[in-house]
Formats: sequence, structure tokens, C-alpha cells
Amino acid sequence: MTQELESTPAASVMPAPRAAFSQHYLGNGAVLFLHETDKFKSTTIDLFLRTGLEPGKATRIALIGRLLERGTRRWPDMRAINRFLDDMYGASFAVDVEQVADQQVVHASFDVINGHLVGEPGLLSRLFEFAAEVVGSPAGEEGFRPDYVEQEKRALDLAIRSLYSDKTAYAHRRCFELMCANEPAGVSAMGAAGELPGVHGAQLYETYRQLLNRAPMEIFVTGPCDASKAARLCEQAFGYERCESTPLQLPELRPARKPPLHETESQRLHQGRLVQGYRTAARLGGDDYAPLLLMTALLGGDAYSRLFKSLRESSGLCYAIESQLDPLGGFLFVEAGIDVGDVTEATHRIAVEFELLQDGVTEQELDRVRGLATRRLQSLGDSRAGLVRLGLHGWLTGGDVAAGLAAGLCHVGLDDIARVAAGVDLDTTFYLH
Amino acid sequence: MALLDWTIESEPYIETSLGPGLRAFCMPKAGFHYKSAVLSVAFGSADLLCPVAADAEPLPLPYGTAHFLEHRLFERDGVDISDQFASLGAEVNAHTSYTGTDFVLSCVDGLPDCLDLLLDLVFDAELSADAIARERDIITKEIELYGDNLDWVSYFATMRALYPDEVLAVDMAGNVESVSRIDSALLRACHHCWYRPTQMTLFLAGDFVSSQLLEAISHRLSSRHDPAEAILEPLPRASLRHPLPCYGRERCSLDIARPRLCLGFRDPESIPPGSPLLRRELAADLALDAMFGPASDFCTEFYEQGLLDLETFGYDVYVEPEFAYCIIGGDTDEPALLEEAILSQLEKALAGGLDEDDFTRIRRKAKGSLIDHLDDVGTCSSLMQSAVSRGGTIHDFFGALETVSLDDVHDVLTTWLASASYGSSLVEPRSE
Repeated sequence: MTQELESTPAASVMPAPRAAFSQHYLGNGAVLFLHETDKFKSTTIDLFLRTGLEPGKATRIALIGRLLERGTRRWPDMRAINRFLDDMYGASFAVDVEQVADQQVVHASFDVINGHLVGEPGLLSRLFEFAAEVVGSPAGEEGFRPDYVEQEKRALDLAIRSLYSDKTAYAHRRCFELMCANEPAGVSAMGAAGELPGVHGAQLYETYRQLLNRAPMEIFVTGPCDASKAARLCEQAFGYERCESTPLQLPELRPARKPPLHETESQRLHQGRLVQGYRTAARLGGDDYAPLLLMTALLGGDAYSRLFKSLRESSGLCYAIESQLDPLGGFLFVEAGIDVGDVTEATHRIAVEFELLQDGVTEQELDRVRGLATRRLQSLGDSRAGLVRLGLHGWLTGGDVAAGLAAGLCHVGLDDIARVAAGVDLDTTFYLH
Repeated sequence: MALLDWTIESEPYIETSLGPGLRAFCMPKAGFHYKSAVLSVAFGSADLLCPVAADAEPLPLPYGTAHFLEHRLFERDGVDISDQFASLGAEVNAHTSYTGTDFVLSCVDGLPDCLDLLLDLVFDAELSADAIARERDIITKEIELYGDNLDWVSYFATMRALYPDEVLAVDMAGNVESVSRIDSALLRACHHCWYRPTQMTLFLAGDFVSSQLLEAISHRLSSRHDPAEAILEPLPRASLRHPLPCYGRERCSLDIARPRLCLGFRDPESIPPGSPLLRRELAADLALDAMFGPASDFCTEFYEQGLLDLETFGYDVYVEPEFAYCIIGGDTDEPALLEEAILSQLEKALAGGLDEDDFTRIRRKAKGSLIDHLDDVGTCSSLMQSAVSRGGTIHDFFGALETVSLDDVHDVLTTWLASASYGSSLVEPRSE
């Protein structure tokens, strides 16, 4: 085994990843990130409109995301939209409303295969025309179509209610809500069901106009496309006149509450779901993010991790356990399926593993997770979703995060792991059973 | 005229046999960092008999044996072998389906070393009796975890309606009772029968030099296995390609927000493996997309009426040589109305046929989606695996798109989706 370890290329000799995107500005201030590559057989467009999470507005924004999927003036219903996409060789289109730290992000994504592969070089231009319609000309006269508004209010209500059916997602959401009850990050990007009856078309359209005119906008185009042509198509599609956008700052990282909150909820489950939310002292872009990333992997990254070995392999307490990091929110979550009778032992073992991160990690363990993390970073260009996500996060934290992270990972030592582990504090435990 | 100028033939692709008979398929993908390998073993949850000697009765296997064996193979000297993969910068996982066990590897560099370790994982089983009880606990926890998962519960309820008393209606992991009957002797017998090169297939995708790599694996395999060794062949699986004996209906309850309705349809036709089977699968996909896909009148009309939601409504098609079925459904507050609407849509299509323009449009979509899949090395390995495990090659997916006809789609409607031969499941919210 030692032999094999030595034959693994050391992380420090790996080249730092190059910044994938070239950065441009549209005439209206929107930021355009281009990554021209023939590696892929399709081109993707990802458009982000960001705004602060606020009660009330969050529900309207969640509805707007759904309404943008319903139709445009030229393609007035789902049938027309999907027939158009089918004709474009199964082009894909979605509008998701997501959360990044304390911001609500409307993410419109589009994807079409390289037209040259099918003798139809105009596919990408047609996709841009469609994207422009989706963003700028939703179906309706002087506002969203009233019947669509009512249908989407009902559909969003169902979607929010249905979170209850997914126990893992539900337990995570409840823990997060309890943890951030008094801060913007605790406002759900899905919206609140109780606010839906009070939402009216005119107010909804006004929120949409504000979003379009003032929200910071970032556009990412990746895949086979000529960069200058892509820039021109973006200008045509999204270069409409807009006001100067309201800048958004990431919030200060807050300390964990003392003492930690512990809540349980009883449903009728075959197995309980334990979620522990921790607050960390680092976020992506900061010096301590690289050690925090490795610490999280050591703790509960995969089958090689300490929680997996302790709670699953040694004690048979669970089948699934993992830890995950929210790179911009500064949150760390430990999640596991645990039976009622085992909760005390499980939480004790998690606490022990946290303590051991401060003085019980070996160089070999650290090198292992460093190697995995470095390789993941090096391979980011294989996944456009990952590339775009890191590109956006980098933009929000003001730097080339990939290069900074690659350099940071090389220098993390056991003392760094101990230091960041000491700065991770339990905030909230939620147990659903 | 070809539907597209580009063809799969322009992608590099290698098919070969290694050492004592392990089939291998490679798709070199220039420019990608990740390398993906899938080692497929033809031992799945539907295999319930293990041959032990030429003159002896085969050993009956409890439900969940293939899955249990998959779990046990990961242990080396009391620790999970994932540690060793992680030290090579690689990640490994495995899953068991009805018809096979797949070991999935992804790495960036050091692929030869990682593949060596993968061969160690599957061939050098420890299977000690000591750890069996603890593994049973872990698997029981896995079964319990899925017992709260709506997708999983709804799927198996549909399978119970569709294949009553058949192994397809049982979780691949088995149940608490069956798992308690699995011991190390049983696992060793199964390992001896199925975990050998002639029962395995290797799929590789990524940026590597195939010839050197394949030669090295071939050498490793030859030094491990004696091709002259007499081994009993696994028994063929029984065909379930006949109509559902009678309409099946399953109801169960779970702590959920809304009811979920699913309708399942068995394909009673026997279709030869390889390209005819994959064309049949495509024809079913196209038929269901035309009737129930996002561009269908059905989807728009009933979404607008609030009978279905776009998050959960959909369909799936599963095709194997020995069985094939499709499932249509989703969450609804009005299960009876949704069931009636689905059956009525099928009857309408059966009476009026599908529109030629719709067929052309949906075929374009299917081809574009298939090309899009090739942008991910992991998906390339899975696609090759999916085709080969059913007697074809990845070319057959593309070939099927060129040859599939509206007649094939109509044949699916009349022989497979005829509404007399369906089963349904309803998972309801638990009442107080």
C-alpha cells in the first residue's frame, strides 16, 4: 500500500487550473462569461438574475420563475415551447429558483447540440432568440396571463406541500430554517405557501420588472461556439436597456448559537433522519476555505471518511451518513439515517469524530482527501454545471477561486485542519422520526 | 436520408476480449480529465438459483443475495477498500439491479493501477463469517431507509401489481427475513459461479491509450484465471414475457403529502436481444413521449386543470430480454381521474394512431438527447453497458433511431400498451 501511495502524483506537482471563462460586459452592464470549447457536442447558456432573499418578495420571485417556463408571446404555452425544443433536436430549457447564501437566484438554463453536427448551423442563434423571449417577453398582455398566475399559485402550493413527502430533503430544510430563523438566509427560495393567496398579478409583474431592470445579471455560455458570435448573440438577446443594478454583498458569517438548539419532530417513519447544522468561520475565496473543504471530506466525504467508518462500518448504526459544505453560506451539515434508539450514540460518535479532527488525523488521511479534492478541481472542465457554478461563486467572492483553491489545497497541513475544525460549531440538531 | 450528418461511427470505439474471455468496450474521449470504468457482473437480484455441481440440485438463493455479495466484496482486512481507491485518487461505487452487479470507478490519473485494484475488489473476496452479522445490520438499515422513500415504495407497489409473486416485485436488497438467511458459504458459492471473466464485461471511457491499457488488463486476467478450469454455467432466467394473468392493483400508505398513482404495463411479446430489443425500447419511449411527454396535449391540458404536476408526472420504460414493462404516473389529488385520463389517452392513440409529424419531431428530440449524453464520460460507460447487457452495442441505440418506424410505435400501442393488461398502484397519505 505504501508503494502505491508513493506512486500517486503529489498534489503539489499538478498544474493550477486555468480560468475557464473570458469575462465581458454587455452594453447594459450585464456580465458575460464565455468558455469556447469543442470538447462538448452541445452549447449551454446559463443566465442568473440575483436578488436578496426577503419574505413576501421571495414567494413572488419563486412564482415568476415558474411563470417564465409557461410561455412567451411567440411560444404562448408549454406545448408550443416543448414542440419548439423538440424540433431543435431536444434542446433543453428550465428556470430554477435557487438560493446562494442570502440571495435568491433565478437561473434560466438552455442547451442545444452543435448545429454543425446536424447540418443546421443556425440552432444556437435560434436558441438565443428563444432565451430572449423567455426572459423578456413572457406570455400575457401588460402583465402575466391571469390564468397562468392562478395555475402557478396552485402548482407552487403543491410543490411546497410535497417537500413533506421527501423525508431527507424535508429534514434538511427544517434544520436550515431553524438554524437561520432570524436571518435572510432562512427565507425559503421556494416561497411560503401562506403568502400565495395574497399574491396578485400586478404586483407580481412589478416585481418581475424590478428583477429584470435592477437585479445583477450574469450570463455564462460554454461549448462549441465562436466567442465573438456568442458575445453578439448575447448582446442581441439580453442587451435590453436596464438600470444600474443594485450591488449585493455576501453577509458576514455569524457565530453558532449557544447553547445549540435541539428539535425533534415525530412522523411515522421506518427510520429517523438526523441533521446537524454547524457554522464555520470560512467561505469560498477565503484563506481557510481549502482546509475547511478537506476537513469536511475527512469527516464525512465518502466511504473513506471518519463518520462512515465510525457510524457505519464499526458500529452498524446507519447505512448512509455524510457531511456537506455550503461554500458561500459558511454552513456545514452532517446528515444520517438513524433509528430512534441509536440517536444518542450516533450524536456522541459524531462529536467524538469532530474532536479527533483536531489531533487525530494522520498525514496519510490528509493526503488522500487532498489528492481527491485536487483531482476534482483539475477535472472541473469535464462538467459544465460544475464549471458554471464555480464561475458564479468565484464572481460573487471576487476572485479566480479555482486557482486560489488549487494553490491553497497544496499547503494545507494537519495544524490547519485542527484550526478550522476548532472554528466549526454546532448550531442546530434536528431529528425527524 | 440519414437523420443526421454526424454518426456514432465517427466516435472512436473499441470492442475486444481480454485474457480468459472478459469482454471489453472502450470509448476514448479526447480532452476529458475523468476516466470512467464500469465492471459489470451478470449476477443480479433476479438470479435465485446457484449451480454447485453437475450432479446436484442448484442452491436456492434468498432474495438480496447478489446485493449482499456486492456489499461484502468491499471489505479488505477489516476496512473498506474505498480507502485504497481514495489513495489512488479514485472513487468507486457499486449497485445491484435485477440482472447484474455494476462496479463503477472514476479517476483522473493512474487508471491502470485503479483497474488493478478493481480486479482485486471483485476477484479476491474475503467473505469471512465474522462480518456477516454487521453487514446484515447495515443492509437492514438500507432497506428501512428506502421504506420511507416515496419513489421506491411506489415503484415496488407497481411491480407487485404488475408481477405478483415474482422476484421483480422484491427490493434488490431483499427483505429483513431473506437477508437473515444469507451466510458466507452461500456468498462463496455465488462468487465462485458468477465472479469470473466470462460472466463479466468491462466498459471504459476517457482520454487514455486503449491498446496498452487493454493489453495490461488482459495479462493480469490471464495470470489469475485458468481457462481450462471447469466451472458450471449460471442457469438462464425464466422469461416473464407473457400477459399479466389478471388486473393487479396495489394500495399502500406512507406519511406523505399527496397520493401517488402509477400504472404499469407488461410487454407480452418475445423480442430477440440486441438491436430488435433496443428498437422496441425506443419505440415505447417515442410512443409514451408522444402521448404523455411535455409537448403533448395531455400534459398541457391536465397540468392546467391541476390533475398532475410537472415535478413528478412522467413515464419510464424498462426493457430486458426476459421482461419489459413501462410505468406512467405521478402525484395527484385525484387518482381515479388521473387513471381514467391516462387510459383514455391510450385508447385514443390506439384508435387514431399517432401523427407522422409528431413522430418525426420526437425522433429528432431522441437523437439530440442521445448525442448530448456523449458529453459525459460516466454516461458513455453507462450507455455502452446498457446496450451490451441487452445483447447489443452502443451503435444499436443510434441504429434504432434510423430504423424505427411509425409501425413499430403502433405495434407497441397494440401489443404492449393495450389497456387490458395493466396493473396499478396507489400510495396514499397515512390517515390519522
